[in-house]
Amino acid sequence: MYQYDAFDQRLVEERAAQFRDQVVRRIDGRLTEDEFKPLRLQNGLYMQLHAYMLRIAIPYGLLSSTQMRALAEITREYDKGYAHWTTRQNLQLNWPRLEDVPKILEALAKVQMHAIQTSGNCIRNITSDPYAGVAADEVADPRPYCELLRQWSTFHPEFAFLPRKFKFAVTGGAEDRAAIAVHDIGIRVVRNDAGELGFSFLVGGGQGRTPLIAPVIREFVPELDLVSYAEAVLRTYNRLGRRDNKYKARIKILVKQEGPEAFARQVDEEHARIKDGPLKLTREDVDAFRRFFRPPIYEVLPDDEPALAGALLGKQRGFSRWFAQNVVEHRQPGYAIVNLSCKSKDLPPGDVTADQMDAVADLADRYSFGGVVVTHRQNLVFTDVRKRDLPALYAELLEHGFATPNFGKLTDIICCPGLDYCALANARSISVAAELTARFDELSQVYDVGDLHLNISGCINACGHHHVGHIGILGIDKNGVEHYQLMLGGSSGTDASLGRVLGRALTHDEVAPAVERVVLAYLSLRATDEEPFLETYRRLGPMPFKEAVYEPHHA
Amino acid sequence: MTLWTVTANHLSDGSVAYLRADRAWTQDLQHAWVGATEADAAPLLAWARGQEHLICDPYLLEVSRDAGRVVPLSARERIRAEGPEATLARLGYERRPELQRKVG
Repeated sequence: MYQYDAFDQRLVEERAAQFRDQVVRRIDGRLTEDEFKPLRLQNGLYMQLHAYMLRIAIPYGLLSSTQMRALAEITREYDKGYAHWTTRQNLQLNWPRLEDVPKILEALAKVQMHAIQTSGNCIRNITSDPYAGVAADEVADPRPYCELLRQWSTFHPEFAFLPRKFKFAVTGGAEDRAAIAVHDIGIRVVRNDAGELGFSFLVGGGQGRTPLIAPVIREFVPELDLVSYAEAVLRTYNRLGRRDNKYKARIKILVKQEGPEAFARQVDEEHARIKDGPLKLTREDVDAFRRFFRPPIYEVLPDDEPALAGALLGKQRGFSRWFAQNVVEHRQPGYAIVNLSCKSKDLPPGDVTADQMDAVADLADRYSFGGVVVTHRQNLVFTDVRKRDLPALYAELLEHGFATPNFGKLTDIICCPGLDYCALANARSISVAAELTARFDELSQVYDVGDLHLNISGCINACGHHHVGHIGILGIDKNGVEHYQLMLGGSSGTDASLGRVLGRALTHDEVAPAVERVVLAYLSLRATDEEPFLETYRRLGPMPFKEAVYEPHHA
Repeated sequence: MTLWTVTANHLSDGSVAYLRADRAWTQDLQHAWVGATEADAAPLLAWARGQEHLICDPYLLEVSRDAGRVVPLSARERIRAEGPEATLARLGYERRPELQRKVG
C-alpha cells in the first residue's frame, strides 16, 4: 500500500497541530462557533444529536493491520469502545469529546491517517472496488490511480470551496463493485482497441434528493491524462455549478441541465488548455505509484486444495455455507478473497467494537499479508487468504462475530446511523434493520431468497444508498412521526438503476412485515429458483409487489 | 398546545443542553424552562447566543405537556431528549460486557 513520504507526514502532523490550536482558541473564546465550525468540519468533526462525531478517512478503504490497531486503540481510549464503517469506506467515532479530537488526529498521523476530506464542499475520500488488485475480472489495479487522485485532490486550493461536496469512485473490474454510476465522477479503468490503458469517465451521477445515473461523458481518457481530465471536469463544474441553491449545486444537476454532450464539450475545451501542462502524468509517475501496490509474494499453490475439499464435503455445514456465500475466487491459484460480515444480529449494521478491530488486525497479519479493506457495503475484506487456511480462519471469524454467511443477502443490510445519531436524519434506520435482521435471520429462508440488497437511509441524503438497493427504505418525517417509503428495483452494480417508490409511506412497525410480503411475493413470482429478485422485478414491474404490500388479502 | 423552550449542544462533548429558568444548562428536558409563546422564548434564545463558551448553536424547540411531562413534538427531538443512554440501550451496547468500562 502507499507509504507516506516526508511531505505527506509533515502535512498531517501540521494539520493536527493546527487543529489543536484551533480547539484551544474555541474553548477559551477566541473563536466563535461560526468561526470554528468550518475548521472542525474540515477535520471531519460534526455535531450530531447527542455528541460530536469524527469521520476518519480511509482512502479507497485500504488499511494495514497497524492502522487497524491504532483505530482500535483510539476507539477504546477516546470513544465508547465501538465505531462505525460508513458507505464511503470511512470510520465514524460517535462520542469523542472536543478536547480529545486533537489527540485523536495526532494518533492518526502516527499511522499515516487523518480526517481530511470527510466533510465540506471539497473532493471527498475516494472510494474503490474492495477486491482491487485481486479481482479476476480486473483490467488493472485501480488503487494507484486512486492514490494519484488522492494526492492531487488533498488541499487542492482551487477545489476547497466547490459549489457542493464531490465524490469519486474508481473501479478496475468488469463488474461494478464500487457503485461508480451514482458518484459525481465514476471512473472505470479500460483498454482501448489498441490495448492501451485509459479511463471511461462517468460524470453527474448521485443519490440524495435528486438521484441520477451518471452518463459516460468520455469513453476513453488516456492513462497519462487522468489527473488533467479530472481537473478539467472539476474546473468546469466550479465555474458553472450553482451556488445559489444547495439543492441544485451538485454536478449532477449541471450535467443534466447542460446535457452530457454539451457538458463534455466544455470539459474538452478546458482539457485542451491544460492537458500538456504540469498535470500531465509521465510513465515514471504511474510506475512509481504502481510499485506501492505490487502484489504480495504469493506461494505457488495448487488451486484445488485437498483440505478444503474435505471440509466442504464433510459435515461442517456452517463452514460450507460461509464458504459458498462469503468467499470469492481469487486470481492467484490457491488463494481466496474472504468477505468479513459486519452484519449480525448482535450489532447495528457496520458497527465494530475495538476488540473486534484488534482481532481483525491480528487475523490480517496471520492470514492476509497484514491488509484489510473496508467496503462501501460496510463490511471488511481479506484479499489474500490461502485456501488451505480457510477452515482455520472461519473458526476465528466465527469467534469474533465476522462469519455470518450473509454476504450479498437480505440481512447484509446497508444502513446509515439514522435518527439514533444523525442530526440530519428524519427517522431511525438501525431499529428497522434490527427488525428485518431478526425476521430474516433464519438462514434457510435467507438461502431461499438468493442475492438481495436491502439498503436503508434515515433521510433523503441517502447515506444508506436506498436508491440503489434492490429493496430500498427511506425514512421520512410525517408530522413529527417516523415513516418509511419502500422503493424497489434499484441497483448499484454494472446494471445500475434507481429504485421506484412503491406506494404510501409506512409506519415504523409496518416496514418489516411489508418487506417480508415483498420477499414472499418474489418467491412466488420468480420464473425459476435461480431468477434473482432484481430480474423478477424488472420482468414484472411494481404492480404485483404493490398488491402484496398494500392489498395482501387480494394478492 | 405548542409550548417553547431553548436547546443547544454542550461545547465540551456535544451533549444535549436545555436552558433552565435560572439560566443554567441542563441535560434533562424536564428541568427546562418552558414558555407559552415563541415571543416569550425569543429573549432567552438571544441570551443563549451569548453562551458560546458553554454551548453551540442554540435554537427554539417546540414541545407540549403530556400528563405533566414536557414532550418534544418531533421524533428527532424526542430521541435527543431521551439521551444517549436510551440510544445505547436501544442499540444493544449496554448489554455488551466488553464495553461496560466505556459505555454510559
